[in-house]
Amino acid sequence: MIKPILLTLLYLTLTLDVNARQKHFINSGTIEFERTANMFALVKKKVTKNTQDIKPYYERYLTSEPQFRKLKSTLFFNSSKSLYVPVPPERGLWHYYDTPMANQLNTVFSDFRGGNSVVQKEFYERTYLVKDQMRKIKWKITEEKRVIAGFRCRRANGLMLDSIYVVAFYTDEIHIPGGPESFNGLPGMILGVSVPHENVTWFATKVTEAPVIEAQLAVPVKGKVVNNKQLFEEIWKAVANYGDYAMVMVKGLLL
Amino acid sequence: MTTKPILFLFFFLGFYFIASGQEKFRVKGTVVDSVNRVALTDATVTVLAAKDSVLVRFSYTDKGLFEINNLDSGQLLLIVTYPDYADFIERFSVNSGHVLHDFKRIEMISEVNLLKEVIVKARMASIKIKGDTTEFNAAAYKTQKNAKVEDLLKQLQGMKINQSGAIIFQGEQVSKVLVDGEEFFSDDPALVTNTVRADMVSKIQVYDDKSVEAKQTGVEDGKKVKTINIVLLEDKKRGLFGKADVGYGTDEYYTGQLMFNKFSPKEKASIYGNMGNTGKVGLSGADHNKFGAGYSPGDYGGNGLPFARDGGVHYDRKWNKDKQSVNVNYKTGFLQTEGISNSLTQNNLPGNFNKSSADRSFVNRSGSQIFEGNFRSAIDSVSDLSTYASASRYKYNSMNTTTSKTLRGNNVIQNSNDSRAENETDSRYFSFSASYTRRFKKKGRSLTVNSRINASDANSEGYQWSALTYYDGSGNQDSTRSINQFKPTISNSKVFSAGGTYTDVISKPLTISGGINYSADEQDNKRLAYDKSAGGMYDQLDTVFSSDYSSGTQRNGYNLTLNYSSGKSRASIGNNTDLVWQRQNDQFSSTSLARNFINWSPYGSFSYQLSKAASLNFNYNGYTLQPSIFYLQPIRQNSDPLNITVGNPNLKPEFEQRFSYNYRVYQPTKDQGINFRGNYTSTLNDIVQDKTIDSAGVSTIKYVNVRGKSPGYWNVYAEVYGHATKLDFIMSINLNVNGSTYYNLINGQLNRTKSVSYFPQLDIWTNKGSYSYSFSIGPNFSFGESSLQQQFKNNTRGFLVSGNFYTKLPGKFFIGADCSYKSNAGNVVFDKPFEQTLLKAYTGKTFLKDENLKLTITGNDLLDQNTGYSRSSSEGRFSESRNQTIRRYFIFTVTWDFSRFKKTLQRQES
Repeated sequence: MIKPILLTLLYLTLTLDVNARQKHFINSGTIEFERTANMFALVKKKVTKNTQDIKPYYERYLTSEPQFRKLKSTLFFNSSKSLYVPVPPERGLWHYYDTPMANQLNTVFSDFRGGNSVVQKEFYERTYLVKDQMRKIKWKITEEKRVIAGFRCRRANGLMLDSIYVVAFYTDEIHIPGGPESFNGLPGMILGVSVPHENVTWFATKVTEAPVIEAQLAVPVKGKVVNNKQLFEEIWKAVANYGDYAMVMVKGLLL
Repeated sequence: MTTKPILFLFFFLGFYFIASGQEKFRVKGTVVDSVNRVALTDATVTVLAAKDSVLVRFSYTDKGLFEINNLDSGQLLLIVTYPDYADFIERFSVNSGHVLHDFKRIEMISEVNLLKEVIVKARMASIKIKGDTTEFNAAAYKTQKNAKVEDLLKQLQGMKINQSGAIIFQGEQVSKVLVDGEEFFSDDPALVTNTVRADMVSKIQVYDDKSVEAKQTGVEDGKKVKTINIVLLEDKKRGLFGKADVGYGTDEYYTGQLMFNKFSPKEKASIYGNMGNTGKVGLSGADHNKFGAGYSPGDYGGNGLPFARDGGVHYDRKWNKDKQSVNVNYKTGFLQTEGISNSLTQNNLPGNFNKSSADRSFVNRSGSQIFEGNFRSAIDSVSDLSTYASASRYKYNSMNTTTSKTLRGNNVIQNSNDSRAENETDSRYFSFSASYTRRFKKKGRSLTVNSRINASDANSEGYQWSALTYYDGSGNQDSTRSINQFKPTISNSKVFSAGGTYTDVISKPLTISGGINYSADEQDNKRLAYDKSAGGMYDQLDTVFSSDYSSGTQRNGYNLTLNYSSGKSRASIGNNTDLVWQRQNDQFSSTSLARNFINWSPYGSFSYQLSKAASLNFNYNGYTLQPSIFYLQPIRQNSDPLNITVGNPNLKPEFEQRFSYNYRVYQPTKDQGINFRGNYTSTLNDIVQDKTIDSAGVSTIKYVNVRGKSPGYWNVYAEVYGHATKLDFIMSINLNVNGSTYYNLINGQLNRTKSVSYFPQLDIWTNKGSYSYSFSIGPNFSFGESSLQQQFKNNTRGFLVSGNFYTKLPGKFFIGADCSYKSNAGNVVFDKPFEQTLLKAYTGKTFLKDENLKLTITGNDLLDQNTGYSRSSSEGRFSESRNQTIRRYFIFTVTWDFSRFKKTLQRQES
């Protein structure tokens, strides 16, 4: 009788010892992100050669409005899927200050198993449902580290949509290759993103470990079904008349 | 945590990443804790491409096991991370001969233990090209712990440090090194690069600066000062660092060195002291170029056996929101060199030649003290005042004994000479300058006024003994002449100058600046020669060989410059005109010579930024060069009775013009680039030597103009560099070509000396944390001929190979060696070929955590072949010399490096 007890005790001590060393990893939960846009820079981009009339509005923005526009969003995830949902802004932007990069246009569903995503994108009173492969980003891993929302993250520099430079911080304590918006593909959850040339950042403010029910990971259904290529064509049609500002809009709409 | 999601993830990874379809290459292993060997589940395993750190695949361990499939062949990096453990990073490769790489067991070290793993580094863009500035990102280069800036410079593309410590960038010598844009130890390059630690550096910028005069007066003089600016890392701007070094070796060789520095963002204080006889410390003579002194006592140059000691103090400080700043330096040095040398010279004469050989022994001692300081102040938001003062003193004494002999072309003796000279010189220099700048409300409009005073005096006393014997054509003694004289010299000069420059903007890209400048100088030059009288005293003035001149020059300069600068291109064009009035009095004969002349110096430059990483530059400078007044009315002197100089009052000025061209392109993604540089200088109305050699071999020299010929010199430098694909080293292929054409007159006949030298070279080097090696190979070909001696072509062919390596060994030991091989083939003029291999090896051990303490044993010139050989050809002559120099010795050194910074960033690798 004593032997089994001793063995059990021995087993428990050993496993406890292992468990003490074995770190806990999160595989489902929610992450709250805060998106910060530098409006001084974004509004300035509206002023181009052929839109000099916007200049007085830009100057007015500088004196009357805040530099940073902060928006909230939530990412629900389990080990195979995630859904990124923006929280509607408390107040909108006046037409003269508005630009796609200042807003959260996308609800993003990612299926890591199939490598597919469904993005519900709303702009100019139109809604598209973009069904395609997950966005491919070429990542370079660096040695730089920083702590975001209590998680130690490693920096990776990425290049996406051919030319947009992205800096992301991912943690190896959440083994899901996802992140806010369509950022993905790193060996851990992305908790911080900066797109320096587009003057916008996303940082996690809170990570909650909780079971996520299927309803919270519902695939968006509203909108005209397109793929990335078709979306691109639609966007170009929409912005064709904007001159130099068109490229700025395209980047904001594609992100 | 259940295994299900992990399995899913494995499934997904395997599925999602089928990209190139090659399933052949794999990596696997087991991840465990290094202490209790427990398998770690959920460790992140990431595979990167070794060359650029691009993410290839990733996976997570299950009960410690991982396996990643579908890899492409090549060099890869594996990173294993686990919370609270140090990252494991290792390079591996897979290829058709090695399909599966098994890491077997990877032991993760808990972060409680010190992190000593290699840090992964992407190939950073190491170079930026902005206009004429090349900027190197120090983080892209690895150096050993406690390495100095010099070790960093050696790795930069296009940068070379030659044996005497001079820094060469793309074939041009760097003469100034700044720290954060500030002068540090009056910008002595070697001192700065041996003091500042490599791990303090953020960027190294190399550019052409204007000369001190051009900056003070605002008048462009076309002189470019190649400058390095060392930009420090933000967190290394505050701290203490330094070094102490003591060595003792065989044959009484020893060294001692102490350096202490205290830096803060607003204040830098440094002190150093050196002592030694190995020729490695405190021997830079760079300062003397600045003062234009006639000799450079600190210049060891590798000839003879040196004993040196020197020391200095530096202090700079900014205060009152950086509105005021002060920068002071004091340096003192002493150098003694003694040695013997022998030289062989062939002088080309019309239809004939002679050969002279000389054996010389010498002892030179020099001492110097230099003080320098500047003060800058922003008086208010629109005006600045800047002042500079320097005072220096040099003492020099030398003793020389020479035995020389000249043979005619048919090997019959022409003359022989035994001579001895002793000389003692004491000189002082003083300089003060101030400049005031006022900016106006309109952007770009400014006024600068400046003023400068220089004074110098030098006294020297010398004795000369000489016994000359002349021989006739059949080798019989013809006549003799002996000299025994006391020769005191007194010279002093005073210069005053003042001027102003006004700059204004015409339209946005176009600015104009105009300036006037006045200067006056007074000089006295007294050279006396006394013969020994019957009473044994040197009291009989030898009027033939004594002179006493006083001269005065006044100069009015007018300058106009137009600058254009917009986006990608910059251009400037201008001219400087000097109206000069000059007189010289001969105090002995009470005769005077006065002349008025005009000097023109037009200039222009253009630079274009082709892209972010490519730029193109053109420069043109022209100058009128007046003949030295001594060419017109020479000092008669007998210091060399075989070479006598006479004046030519009909000399006209010469006009020199210089064109240079520079093209650079750099590809940051691959870290490769091309540099191309060329320049051509030609002289109109060239002033050349006219030498008449009599039957006894005595040369009489005067200077004359040559018209209708275009003497000049040119240089082309081209370099291509990049990384090797498989083995990770940098390779540079470069070609340097120099050419020159000179004229001179010998016995009334015009002689043209032409020479072209080619220096192709291949360099490879690599520098990792734990080892480094470099290898350089280059033949050189020189073709020289003089038109009077067509049969003697001074064509030489040589070969230079050098290499070095350094590696760490287990147990904190290290070993390294430097080797160079030089060969010069014999030719018609010099029948002896020359070959030399210099080998230096060292080994030692480091102690303490940061390897701060180091014991090294070094063997210098292990093969005992250093003979101080050189060979050259110049106007109408070819010469060769061998000098006594430092040879084989062994030395044992103890080095202690210390540093303490407010915050440390782990960037350097162990």
